[in-house]
Amino acid sequence: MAWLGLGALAAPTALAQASPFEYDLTNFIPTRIEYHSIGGQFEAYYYYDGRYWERWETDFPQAEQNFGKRLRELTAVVASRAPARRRLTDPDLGDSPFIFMSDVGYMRLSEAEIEALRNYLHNGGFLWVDDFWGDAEWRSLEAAMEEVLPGKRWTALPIEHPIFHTVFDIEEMPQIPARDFARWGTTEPPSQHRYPQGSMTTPSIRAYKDDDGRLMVIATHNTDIADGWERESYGEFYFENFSTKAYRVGINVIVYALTH
Amino acid sequence: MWFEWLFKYPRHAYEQGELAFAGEIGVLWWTVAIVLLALSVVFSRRLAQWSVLRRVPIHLLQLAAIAVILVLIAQPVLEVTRLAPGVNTVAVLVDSSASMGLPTSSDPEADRRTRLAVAKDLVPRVVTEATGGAKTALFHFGDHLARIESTAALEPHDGRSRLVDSLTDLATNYDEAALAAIVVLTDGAQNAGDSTELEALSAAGIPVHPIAIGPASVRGDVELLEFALPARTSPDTEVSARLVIRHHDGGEARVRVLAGEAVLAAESVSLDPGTPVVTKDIAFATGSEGLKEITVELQPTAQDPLPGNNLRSRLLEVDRDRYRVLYLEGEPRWEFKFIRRAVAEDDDIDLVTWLRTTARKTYRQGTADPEELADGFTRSREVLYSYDLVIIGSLPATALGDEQHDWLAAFVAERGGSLLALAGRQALADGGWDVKPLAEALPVVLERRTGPDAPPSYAAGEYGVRPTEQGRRSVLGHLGGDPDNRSRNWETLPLLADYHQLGALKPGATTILEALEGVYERRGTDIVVREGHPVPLLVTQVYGFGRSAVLATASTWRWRMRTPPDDPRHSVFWRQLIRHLAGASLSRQRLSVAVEGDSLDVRVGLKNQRFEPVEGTALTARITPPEGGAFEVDLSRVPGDGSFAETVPVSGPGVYRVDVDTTGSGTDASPLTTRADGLKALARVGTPNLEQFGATLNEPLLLRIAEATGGRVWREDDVAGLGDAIAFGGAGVQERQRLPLWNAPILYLLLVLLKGAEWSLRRYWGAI
Repeated sequence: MAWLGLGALAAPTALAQASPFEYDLTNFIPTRIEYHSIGGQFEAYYYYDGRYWERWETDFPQAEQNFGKRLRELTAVVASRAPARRRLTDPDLGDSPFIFMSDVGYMRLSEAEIEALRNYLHNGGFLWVDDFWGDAEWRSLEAAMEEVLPGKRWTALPIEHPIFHTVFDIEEMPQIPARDFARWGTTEPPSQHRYPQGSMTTPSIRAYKDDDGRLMVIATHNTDIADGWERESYGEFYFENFSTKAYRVGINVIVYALTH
Repeated sequence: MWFEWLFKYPRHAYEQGELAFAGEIGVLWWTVAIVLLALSVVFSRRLAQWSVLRRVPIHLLQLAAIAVILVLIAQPVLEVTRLAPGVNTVAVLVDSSASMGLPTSSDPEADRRTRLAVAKDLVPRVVTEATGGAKTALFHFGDHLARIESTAALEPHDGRSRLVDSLTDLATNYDEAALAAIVVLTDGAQNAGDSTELEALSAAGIPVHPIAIGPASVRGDVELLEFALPARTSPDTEVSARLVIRHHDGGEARVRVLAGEAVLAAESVSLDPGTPVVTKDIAFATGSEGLKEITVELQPTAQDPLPGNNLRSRLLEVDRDRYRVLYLEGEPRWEFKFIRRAVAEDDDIDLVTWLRTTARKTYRQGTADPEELADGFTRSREVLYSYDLVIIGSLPATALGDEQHDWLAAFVAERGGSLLALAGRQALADGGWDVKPLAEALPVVLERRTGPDAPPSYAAGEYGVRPTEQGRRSVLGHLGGDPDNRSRNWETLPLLADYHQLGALKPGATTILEALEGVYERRGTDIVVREGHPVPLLVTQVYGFGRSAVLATASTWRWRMRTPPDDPRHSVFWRQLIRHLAGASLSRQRLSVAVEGDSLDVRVGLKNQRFEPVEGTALTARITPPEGGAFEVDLSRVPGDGSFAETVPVSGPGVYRVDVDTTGSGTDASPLTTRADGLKALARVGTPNLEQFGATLNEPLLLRIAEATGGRVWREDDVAGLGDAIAFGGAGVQERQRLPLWNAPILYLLLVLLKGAEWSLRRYWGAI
C-alpha cells in the first residue's frame, strides 16, 4: 500500500547476516526484498497505522504469511510458515529463487545491488514487483531495472499467457486497491501518490523475458496484489471481491516461477 | 643329459614306458638268490662279536647289493611305444607374422636379431636332430597357414597372427603321412581367431611343442593396451575414453586424443614403476555430427623402442539421438524448475513433465500435443514405453493406479527403460512406493519408518557431495571443465540442503556419488566440506533389461542459484545424468556389427511398440565396403528372440558401412516407427599396427597349448630332448619296443656304492 502520512524519518532496519540455512530450504519461502527508496517522507517512507514504514515493508510480513498459508491450503506447494526478508546483496539470496518487492515507485539500487540482482536473474531467479501506480512510478522502476538488465524491453503479458493459467484460469488482470479505498472502486485516488502522473485505472502485468522466452521479472502495475493477501480478514466485502482474486494471481505466479 | 647317461634312455621313455623283466624268474634265479643269501648268513657269523648296532647296517648293505645283482640277473627292460621309423612326419611351423620381425631380446641394443632370424637358425637343428627319426614338413603361418620348402625367403610380413587356428588346421587336416607332432617356432602372438578355443586342437591328439622366441618384456616400451570408446554418441557433448597402458620402466607419458590432426584432449599420465599396467580415463568433446576416427597417441618422455604400439584408433559415430524423458512430480518445487532449465539447454532431450499443482489439478509441460498425458498419466503401456527414462519426484504412489504401477515395473524390467527416483516428502517409502512393484527395481531397499515419533526419511540438512571411486570412473563423476580440477569441481559446489535417508543397498547396486554430513568451513561466501560421514547419494543398478537409480536429494538447484551465472556444473550434472540413464535404455530397433576375422556379424533386433518381437517381416542389409561398390545381403531370422542376423564375408581391411532399412517392412499389427534414415552402423576390419601390440612373448598361451596337446614349451637355447619328446610322444604310427636295462650305468654304480659303503664301515670299525 502506498500511504502518505506525517511523522519523522525512520532509520532503515538493520538485517543480521543471514546464515545459509536459516530456513528449511525444502520449503517454498516467500522472500521479501529490502531496498532503499529515495526521498523523504511520503516518498522513501510514510506514516500509517501508528508507525513509520519504509516502502519495501509495505504489507510485510502479513501479506506473505497469509499467502503462504493459502498456498499450503490450495496447492501442492509446501510453503514456509515464516516469510524471509533479504537484501539483494545478501550472500544467500540464491536460496530464495523467488523474491518479492513491493511499493517500488521510489526504489534506487546501489551498484552492488544491481550486480547481485543481475546475477540472480541470470541464474534463474524470479522477481515480482508489485504495488506501484501511475506513469511516474512506472518510469522510476523502468529506470532502475534498465540498470540491472540493460537493453531489456518490458513486455505486456496478454491474458493468454501461461502465467494466467498455471492453476487458475484468470480471464482478466484484477486491480486490487488498498483496503481503505476499496469502497469507492478499484483505483487508488491520485491524491494518495506523490507523483500521480498518468493513468492509474488500468492494471497490467509486464515482464522481462530471458532469451528463451521465460519470465524473469514481472511487474504488476496499477494494482496491489499483496494488499489483497494482507487484508483478507478485513471484511467479507474485501475478501470476496479482492482477496480471492489476489490469491488466484499469486498462486498462478508462484507455480509459474516454480515450473519455468 | 645326466639322466639319459645314468638311465640309458631319456626321461620321456620312462614317463611313457613300463618297467618289466625279460629274464625268467626260474630255478637259476632262485638258486643264485639262495646261494647269495646263504653266503650272507655265513659271513655274518664272522661278525658275531660285533654289537647289533654295527651288524644291522652291514647286513642291510649286503642285502641291497644282493637285490641289485638279482635284478640284473632278471634282465630288466623298459617297455615303450615310440615312433616307427620312416613312416611319420613332424610338422615344423614357423611364425611369419609381423611381430616376428621385432627384436628377440628385451634389450634390442644388446641383441639386434629378429625373432624370425632366430627361428630360421633353429629350423635346421629341429629338422636334423629333434624330430625323433621322423620326416619333416615345413609350414609357416601368420594370417594363414601355408606349406613351404625352405625358410630362406620367409619375411615377417603378415599383419595378423592366427596361431591357434593354424595349429588346429594343421593338426586336423594334414593327411600326407602320419603326423607325430607339431613343432611351432613363435612368439605366441595371437590377434586373429579365438585363442580360448583349444578343444579341437586337443581332440586331434597331436602333441604341439612350441619353441618360445622373444622377450618377456621390452625395456623402455610403453604400450597402449586398450582404448575403449562408445561406438556412438551425441554431438557437442563430452565422452570419456578409457585407456589401459602397460609400461616397463615407469616415467611419464603424454596422452593426446586426435580426430585427424585436431587435438581433442591432451593430458599427462604418470607411470608408476610399481604398477606396470595403468588405467586412465580421458574426456573430450564430441563436436559436430559425423563419422570420426578417434586416435589416442602415447608420447613417452623417454625413447620408446616400439613406437608402433603407442597408437590406437576407434570409430566414433557422432549422431543426434533424441531421448524422451517423462518426469512425474507431485510437488511444485525448485528442483523441478531447475531440472527443466538444465535440460532445456539440451536439444537432444525431450522432457515431458507432469506436475500435480493441487489435489486435483495437474500441469503438463513439454508435451507434443494437447492429448499427451491429458488423462493424468499414461493411458496405455505403449505410451509409457515410448519414453527412455522416467523420473519420479515427490509423488505419492496413490497418484497412480495398480495397472500403472505394474507398467512402471515392467518398463524397467521388460522394456529395458531407465528410471530415476528423486528425494522428497512423498518419495520412495514415505510416498508409499515400498509396497509397489517398482520397489523391486530400485537399487536400494525401501524401508518405511513407522511409529508416532519416527522422523521422516526426508529432511533438511547440510551435505557436501563427492564421487565414489566408481563415480570417478564414470562420466557421471565429472562435471566438465579441466580434468585436473575434477575433485575441486565437487568440493566447491554449494552444499545440498536436504537428504533422503536410504535403506540398504541391494547387492547389484553401485554408488556413484555420496553425500557428506559433517564438518564444513567457510571460504568467503561459500561453505566447503572439510570432512564428513559419507552416505549414498546417487545409486544405480541394472534391473532386468533396464536400469534404475535413486538420487537422495532435491536441492541440486542450489548448485545453480548459489554459483555465478556462467558456472555450468548444475547443467552438466543433469544433462549427463539424464543422457546416461536415457541412453542406457533399450531401443526398439538395434543394429550391431561385430568384426569376426574377415567377416561382419550383422545383427538386427526389432521390437514393436510393446517391445515384443516383430513377426512376419524380412530385412536386407546394405554393405558398403571402403572402396565402394555396395551390395545387399538378406538377413536370416534368428529363431526365438525375433532378431535377424547374417555373417557377411568381406574382402579386405577398412571401414565398412552397414545400412538396414526397416521402414514399412512389418506386417505386424504394430507398425514399425523407424528413424527416417533407417539403421546404420560402421565397422573397421583390420587394425593398423596390430602386430606391434602385445609384442612380448605370450608364454601363457604357449603353455596352454602345450598342456592341452601333451607337448612341452621349449626355449630357443634349449631344444635338446625335443627329438625324444616327439619319439615317445604317443602320436603318429608307433611300434612297441623292449629297451634292455641290464647295462644301465645306474645299476652298476649302485652296486659299487653299496659295496663301497660296506667296505668303508668295516674299515672304520676295525674289521679290516
